[in-house]
Amino acid sequence: MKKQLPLLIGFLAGSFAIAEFYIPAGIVRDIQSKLLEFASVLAAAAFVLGGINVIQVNLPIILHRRPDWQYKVVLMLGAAAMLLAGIEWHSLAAAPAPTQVTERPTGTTALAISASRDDAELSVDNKPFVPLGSGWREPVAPGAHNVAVRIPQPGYSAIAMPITVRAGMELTLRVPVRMLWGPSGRVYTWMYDHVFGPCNATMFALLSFFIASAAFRAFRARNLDAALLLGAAIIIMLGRVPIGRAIAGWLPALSDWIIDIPNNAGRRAIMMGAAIGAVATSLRVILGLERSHLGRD
Amino acid sequence: MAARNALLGFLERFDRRWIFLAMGLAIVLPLLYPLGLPADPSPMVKAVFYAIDDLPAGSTVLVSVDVDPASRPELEPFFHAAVRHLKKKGCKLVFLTLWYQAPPLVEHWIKDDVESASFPGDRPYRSGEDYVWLGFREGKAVVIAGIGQDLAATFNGQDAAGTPFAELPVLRGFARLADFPLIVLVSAGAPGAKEYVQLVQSRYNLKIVAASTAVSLTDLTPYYQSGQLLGLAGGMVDTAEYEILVARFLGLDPKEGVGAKALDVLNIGHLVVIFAIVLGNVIYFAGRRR
Amino acid sequence: MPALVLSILLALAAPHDLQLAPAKNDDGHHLVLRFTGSADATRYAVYRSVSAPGTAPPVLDLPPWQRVKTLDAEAGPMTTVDEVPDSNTEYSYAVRAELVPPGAAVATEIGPPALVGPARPRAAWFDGSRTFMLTIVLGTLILLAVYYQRAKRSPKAIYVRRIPGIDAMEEAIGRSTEMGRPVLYVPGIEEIQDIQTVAGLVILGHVAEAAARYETEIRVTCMIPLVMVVAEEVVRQAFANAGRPDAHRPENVQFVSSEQFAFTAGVNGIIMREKPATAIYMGRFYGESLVLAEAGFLNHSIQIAGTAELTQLPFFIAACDYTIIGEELFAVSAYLSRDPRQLSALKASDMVKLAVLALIVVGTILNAFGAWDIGSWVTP
Repeated sequence: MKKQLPLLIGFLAGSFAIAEFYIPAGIVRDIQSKLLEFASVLAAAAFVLGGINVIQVNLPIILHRRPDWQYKVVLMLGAAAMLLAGIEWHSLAAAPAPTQVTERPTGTTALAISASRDDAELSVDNKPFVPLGSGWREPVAPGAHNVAVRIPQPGYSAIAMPITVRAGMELTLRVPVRMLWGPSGRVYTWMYDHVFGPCNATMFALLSFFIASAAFRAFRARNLDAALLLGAAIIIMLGRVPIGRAIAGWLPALSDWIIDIPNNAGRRAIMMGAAIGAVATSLRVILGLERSHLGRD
Repeated sequence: MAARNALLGFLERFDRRWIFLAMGLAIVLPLLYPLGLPADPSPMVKAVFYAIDDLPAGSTVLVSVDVDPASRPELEPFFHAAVRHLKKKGCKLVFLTLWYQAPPLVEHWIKDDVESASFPGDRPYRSGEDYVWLGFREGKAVVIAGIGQDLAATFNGQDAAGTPFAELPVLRGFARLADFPLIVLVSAGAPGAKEYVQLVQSRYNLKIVAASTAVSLTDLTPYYQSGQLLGLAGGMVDTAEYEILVARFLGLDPKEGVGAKALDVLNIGHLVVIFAIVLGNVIYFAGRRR
Repeated sequence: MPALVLSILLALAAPHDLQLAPAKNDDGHHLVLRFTGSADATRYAVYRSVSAPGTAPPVLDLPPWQRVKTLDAEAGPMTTVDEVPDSNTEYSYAVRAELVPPGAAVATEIGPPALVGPARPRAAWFDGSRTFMLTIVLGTLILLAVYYQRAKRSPKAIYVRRIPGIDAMEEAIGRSTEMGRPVLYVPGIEEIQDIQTVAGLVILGHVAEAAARYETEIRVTCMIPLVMVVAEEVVRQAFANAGRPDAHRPENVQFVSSEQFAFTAGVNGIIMREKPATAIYMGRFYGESLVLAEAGFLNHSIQIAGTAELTQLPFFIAACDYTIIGEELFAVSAYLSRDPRQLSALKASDMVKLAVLALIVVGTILNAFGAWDIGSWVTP
């Protein structure tokens, strides 16, 4: 039963997935979307297991001071920092104070706006944002106006509201701005901009060096096939950039021809073969022909 | 003979870190001292430009921005240029993303280009009236299939800030992908342009233009050739060419764009790789002769 | 007389030849409306009701009528598909021609609306447009059965050509044993439902069993937590299969990070610190493939990669010692196990490939002579 039950479940689930592709009737789609929901929940739960695994693997290394344990400390602190910064703590706090609006008769029709932070920016009536500083005051025409206040850096609350200024009155707005938490919050966004983004880009940028190094090492004209390969690589590299056109006007056309015709032919052949192989592998798993992961017979 | 042997010995002991150094210089120097080589936009890139330019003024366009920090050099110039192009046409914009790494980037870019005046004669766009940011939705291909049928159901009827769709004038009359006259895809990988074409383009007869990384270009070119993509800008070269077209359209200096400067880096970088290949073969054949 | 002429003219201005039918191959929520437009209209307003059209002229702006879409006028017959809320209800439709003069904000009706219905959507229990694909799948199943019987009778009769990358795996694991260094295995970076990940995990079972037999440590690094869970179970079972369940260390199957380049950095760190003698990459990879392979090269590991991701194959071919290309990835398990059941699947897929090849040749020739648009027959 230990081997038969997983095979049976696999067979039923796989058969349903195949059948669903050919049966448009609504009830089948409803069952499928439910199963997809189950899968999403499972995948989300697996993230908890992943987090536990990270702790299980790295914490013993830190505790026993194994080689390079300091990097594990950085890893764990980084993970904890992102986790804490990603929680919307501000929604757990009290509701934010509303914008204070006061009106007083001054004889001139004016609008005065200030915010709780000096680095706020202001836009009135959809004009470009200007620094608010310690406050802004200007005469305006009586009637309706749009006011928007924001902080230039992401992760802070922003307001956009219509107001009405009566003739002869000065309307004063005091806008509270608060720092937000969560995936759109200040701390998370700062860490994204100053840590994650540069690190991510750096790793990808390594490719430029590694491509040159791999080309130096691997593109040797050992035989006719290899010579054709490196010749095509050189033509395409030159043809794809403006300097190739400057060297020879026909290089871009030849490069495009190599990409469109022989390259596409090879790609399509590999794609078709891989697709048929994927069908066969899927059928093997669904039908239970592939069972090495369940133990020997 | 001694000199030849010395040279052969040097080649055999050649340290690949010299190539790393050459590549590093090839990247840095053109950024500091631009060469300004002319670039001639390809037909695929021109097709992207014309697809956007042919839109009636005031059209509402869906822009799916599926990027991460690693793909910024290749795709960010396209995003900025496309948004400027669309704003010049007075188009309203609906932004969404399928990549969880994208929202902070997209929110930055929206602030820089959409909510601000980004070229002479431009005006800041207002959220809800001129543009909307729907945010990120988990689900990859399932989300694409979902928005093909019902945008509101896929995004729980609200944008990234929690504003209900009913309160967003920009979304009135736009319930699904087929309602948009054009879809612009800024796609760093999967899920992205390929999934959009495979899952929804033929089914709903959508008009799509896409920008992708260079590595995905060969995957997507057949879709352009078959007409499923109206235009395609693949990699930094095409992105820079589109940026140049838009700069000319807006009356700006094409050489000032980030993409145009990056083209010089590509030019020299490719020459370095070719030099590395040639050097590798010289060393190989020299070793064989010995 | 003028009234008669007027009513005739109005009738001519209305959309006509309306047809309403359930959509084909449908989930039961769509109705197809066809009609021929009138000459002067710039657009058509489509209304839907749950009641029968009746004989009296309908008031379309009031319930039960509901405006569902507006169509721009086109030359020739027009078709639209409407998604209805309830698949068990009959619906009627009305189409009204409208004229929007240039620069005007308000449309003017042209003529009375045309009515059609009622009709109920129909859920199909088989999507006929996918018949060809079903034929391929059924054909593969039949071939599987045929070759399975043949393989059971004489397993040695099924010939599989040599694939150097697969032959090198056992040798590479042996090298790891001699050097006293671990084997690193990366089962791709995609989700568990990706077929390349499944193939990678199946191959992991064979590699882990070989590592257990050779008493070599195997480190598995995963980017997706669910893949890590499955991989740990696969490795555990592989060690049990090899008769060494006690040698399995669960912490050797590790979730690194679900972010692509953080995962790459983590795996590179493992390569540089633990210096595996063998690095095996089997599954779907993206931009990190060359970064991983170059790190392995700098570490002087033997590297065997297998992927069906076309964009990354060139990088693996350039940087790894052996590369298993495309469909060979799906053949590894059968190749290593020599199990008749799996070899039969390999043979069946080869036959399907031959059939596809024949179809390409025949279709190309027929299309070239304009004899038969085969595309309309095979695509859904």
